[in-house]
Amino acid sequence: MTQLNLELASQRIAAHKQALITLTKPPVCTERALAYTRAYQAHLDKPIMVRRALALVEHLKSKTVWIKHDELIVGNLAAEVRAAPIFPEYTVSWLEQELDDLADRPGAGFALSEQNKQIIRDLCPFWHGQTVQARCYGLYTEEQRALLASGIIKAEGNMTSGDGHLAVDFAQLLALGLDGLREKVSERRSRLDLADWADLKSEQFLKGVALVLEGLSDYILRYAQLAEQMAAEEPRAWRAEELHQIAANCRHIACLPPQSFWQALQLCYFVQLALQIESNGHSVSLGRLDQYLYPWYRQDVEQGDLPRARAIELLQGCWLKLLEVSKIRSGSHSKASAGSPLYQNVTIGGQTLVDGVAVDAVNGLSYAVLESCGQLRSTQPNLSVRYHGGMSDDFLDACVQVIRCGFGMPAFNNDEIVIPEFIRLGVSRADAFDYSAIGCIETAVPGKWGYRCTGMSFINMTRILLAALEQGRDTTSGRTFLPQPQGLSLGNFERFEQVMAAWDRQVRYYTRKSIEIDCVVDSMLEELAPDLLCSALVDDCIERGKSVKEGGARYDWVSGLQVGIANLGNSLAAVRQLVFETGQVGQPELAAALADDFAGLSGEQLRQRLLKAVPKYGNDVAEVDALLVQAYDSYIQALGGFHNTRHGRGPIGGGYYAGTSSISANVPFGAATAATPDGRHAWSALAEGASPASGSDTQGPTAVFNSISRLPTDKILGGVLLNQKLSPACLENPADRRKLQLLLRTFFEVHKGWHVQYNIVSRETLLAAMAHPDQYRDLVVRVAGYSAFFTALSPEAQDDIINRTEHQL
Amino acid sequence: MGTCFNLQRYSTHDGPGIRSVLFLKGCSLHCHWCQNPESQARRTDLLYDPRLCLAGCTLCLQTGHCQRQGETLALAREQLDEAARRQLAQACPSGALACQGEEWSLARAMTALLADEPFYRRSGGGITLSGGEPFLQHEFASQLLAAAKAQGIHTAVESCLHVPWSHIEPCLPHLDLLLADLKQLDEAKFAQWTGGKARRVRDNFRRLADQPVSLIVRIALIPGFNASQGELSAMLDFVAHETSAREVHFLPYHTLGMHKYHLLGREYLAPRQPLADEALLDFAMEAARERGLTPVLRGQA
Repeated sequence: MTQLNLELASQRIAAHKQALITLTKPPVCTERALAYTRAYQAHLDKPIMVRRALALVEHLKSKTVWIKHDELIVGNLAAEVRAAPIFPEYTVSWLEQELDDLADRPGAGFALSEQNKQIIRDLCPFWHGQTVQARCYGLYTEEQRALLASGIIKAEGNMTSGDGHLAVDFAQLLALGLDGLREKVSERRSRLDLADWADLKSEQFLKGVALVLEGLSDYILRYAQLAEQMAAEEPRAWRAEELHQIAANCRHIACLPPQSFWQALQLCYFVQLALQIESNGHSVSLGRLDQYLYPWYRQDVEQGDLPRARAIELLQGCWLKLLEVSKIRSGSHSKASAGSPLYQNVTIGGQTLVDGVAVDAVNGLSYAVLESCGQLRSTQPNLSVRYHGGMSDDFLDACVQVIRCGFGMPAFNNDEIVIPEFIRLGVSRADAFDYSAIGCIETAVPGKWGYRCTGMSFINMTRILLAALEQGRDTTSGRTFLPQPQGLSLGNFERFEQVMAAWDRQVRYYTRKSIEIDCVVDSMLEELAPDLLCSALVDDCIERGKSVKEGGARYDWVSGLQVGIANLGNSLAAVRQLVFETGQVGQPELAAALADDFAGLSGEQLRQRLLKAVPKYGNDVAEVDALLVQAYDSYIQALGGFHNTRHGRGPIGGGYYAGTSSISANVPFGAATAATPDGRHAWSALAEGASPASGSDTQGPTAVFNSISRLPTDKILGGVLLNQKLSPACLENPADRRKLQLLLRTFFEVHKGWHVQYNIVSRETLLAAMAHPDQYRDLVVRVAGYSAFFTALSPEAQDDIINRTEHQL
Repeated sequence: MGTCFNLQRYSTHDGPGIRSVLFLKGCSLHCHWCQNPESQARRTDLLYDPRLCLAGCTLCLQTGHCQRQGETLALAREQLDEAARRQLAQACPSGALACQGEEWSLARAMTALLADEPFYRRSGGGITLSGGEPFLQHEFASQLLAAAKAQGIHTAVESCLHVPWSHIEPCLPHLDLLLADLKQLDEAKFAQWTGGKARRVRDNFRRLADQPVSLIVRIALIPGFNASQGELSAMLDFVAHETSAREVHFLPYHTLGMHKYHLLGREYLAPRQPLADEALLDFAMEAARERGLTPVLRGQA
């Protein structure tokens, strides 16, 4: 078996990492906001595609560029290290409201100088009424606004952050270089007929793309210039030499396809960076990096004289540059994405087609990426491994060695379910085999799939259930959106089937509303914030002359996120058993206990019965799991009838599927949810993803796998998120590690599991880190579909992680 | 039917591969260091954990089977019959009072054991019967083992061998692996710490030597009882010369089960400190190797 070297060797990387993780309150940068405001004001006459392109170009031309930390991969998001830029075209409203509180947000604080506050205050008025968020609110019906205000449906991230959630076609970028891409655009423009209405529109899009590509090349050249200047003044000869090489790299890749591994990685980083300057969307992912960079790795490392350790150092340099990317979100949105992650996913492993035959795709670079991440133990990239039955024991063991490091990576996605289901949906076989993880755990075909294969509206399933149990009334807001005659307090459910019927009716209503809201957000994003660079790198945008949002992508399925899955099943099971089967608890009695959060001794006695006497999802109890499946199926069926805004405009698909990769939204959603019949106290966290409720899975990991595999995974292609926590002792000896591998293989091959990821940090360590954050700044834990620095989480999110069940082997 | 008190899934230290361990209740010994004291009696045990008691709750008192005694409960366990114990556990909403031990049908046990069948097949694992002493319920045990074998599933038993040979023999045709405890060769010490006869165990080991079943000997190292170089050497000599086992597992004494004695209202008679004698463990490993045995520490092979 290959033994990975998991000790970080590079001093430069260690110092760079230290500089980043000790920066607990990153600054806010106003350069982007100023440049975009300037450009938007100057080009109000231009079509939005061109105006937006010019704004990006203006910013890339005028923004501060720097090279710090003796880095080998260069490029910076903002004027200062880890500073978060402002994206005023999406929203300014929360920013104006929260400007003075930014420094004090638990787990998401930002430093903002008085001068920068004033700059923001001064530029906001221009944007009033023309941001994506403002225009969405201008378009919502009163009912939609009320639903959003209630928090049962949440679309804030979509309105305020743009789309993201995709991987662009890095393979094509590397093959063509920026000149090659420009030629592709020119050639397409040469075939346009400006007497044609559709072509006139396409011309604006392609013109914008051409402007942006030119702006990007000029931006890269600014680093060539800077590196040369710095080399001239650099006293250390070795560093001066590196700076000369950086300059040469930048000069070359500003136009041409890369010639070396270093250049290839640098070009990918520049594009990855520029995508996140162009749009505020997160989960912008790197796709199958071990595949598209392998030709250069093979040439330089396996056949050339680039030392492997140097290649790993370059990768780590790139990972730290990913960690530098920092974005600022509203206070409420920050709670749903604890630890301020950007979810920039890198996928390795899986299979590839050779003459139509699927073969294991693991190569030397796959191991190097794994090792580089294992040494660095950072939160970025979010590393995913594509599992398949033919994966070697050696590579799987290498993955487990990294999992044992305890920073929650790599997570596994499963070829055995994703590929056949994608093919069933209508994805070509070749494309299905080329899928990658996006963001957390969701999957799409890089460079061919539109935005948000997951990450549309969030729905709080438990609040819908509470409404279904109580005349349609939402306990938290007191509002009744869809009235119904039955309620527990009235004692007028005659049979349990009536509860399920009420649920079915309520959830279908909220499903429709969430799609209506998505429709508003999508149409405003399309009108106001098209992404030019991003669209240039997604097939078939250039050929169709359409942005991704207009239907330029080859494939376009999306999913929202359903929160509180386990609580939904557990609550229904409790109601069925104690109210309708044994009759131990009366309907009004349960209603009263839920209303006052199980207050008093009798309330607590009832709560304990709900907790202890009723089996819970995650323990391989078929009856409970089946109830959850039935309830979830109401949502899935309703969802199947809807389309997204790209339907019929080009892409294959244009539909929706379900998804559970709900980041850390289980904490704030729980904080807005009253007591539930599973015995959960009001305002406490909900279960995350598709995982069992915290502490309720007492039968070990195989029982959890059996339960989760009862969910209709083939219809939850937005991801079935499963977090498991193992105590570090479980992986100490090789025999135990081997058994964990066999456990995973069974789950993926027999149960067709979608995903699993591990937290391997002892409870004691987590408690110590809570008490002494300064000593644990580098402690990384798995939150939901991503990892975060533990001390950067809010106390509520920290508690949620500590309370998850720890499985002993 | 058999009396069971626990099913432990994804068990990785009780035989090869991934296993489920079914714990049968009732034992012919009562070792002072036993980490599953609720496994010893065949009848249902009533566990009481005052930490889980709800303040002011009187639901158990209303059954008339217990009284309040200050902050805690007075339980006259000897005077409670099966029905009373069950009534108390059912009355308690929080699990502070709980019963251990249930009658399982063969069908129920097999359904539970087969739930993880795919994991056994993929990992070369299977089922393990433990206890208590599983051979005490030899009819149930042999039915379970036969049913598992009929499905082609690997079978193992963890036993103290302190049972009549007639209980063991019918199980052997369906058994792939026997993990048997060797505790002490000295009769007086054995009787004092376990309440049983060492000779009975030795005889069964000797009988097993002629049987085709794979045998692994497990030695729990208990300070004051057998954790000395002399006693270990004697036991390893016995294993090497008089049994068919070629693998021996050393299990250093730990105290993780101590609190269960409190829950059962019983006194803990074994040492209160876990074994912390690295030198002795090194000696044990080496002494086993010298005798041609394969030693494994903590059952992790």
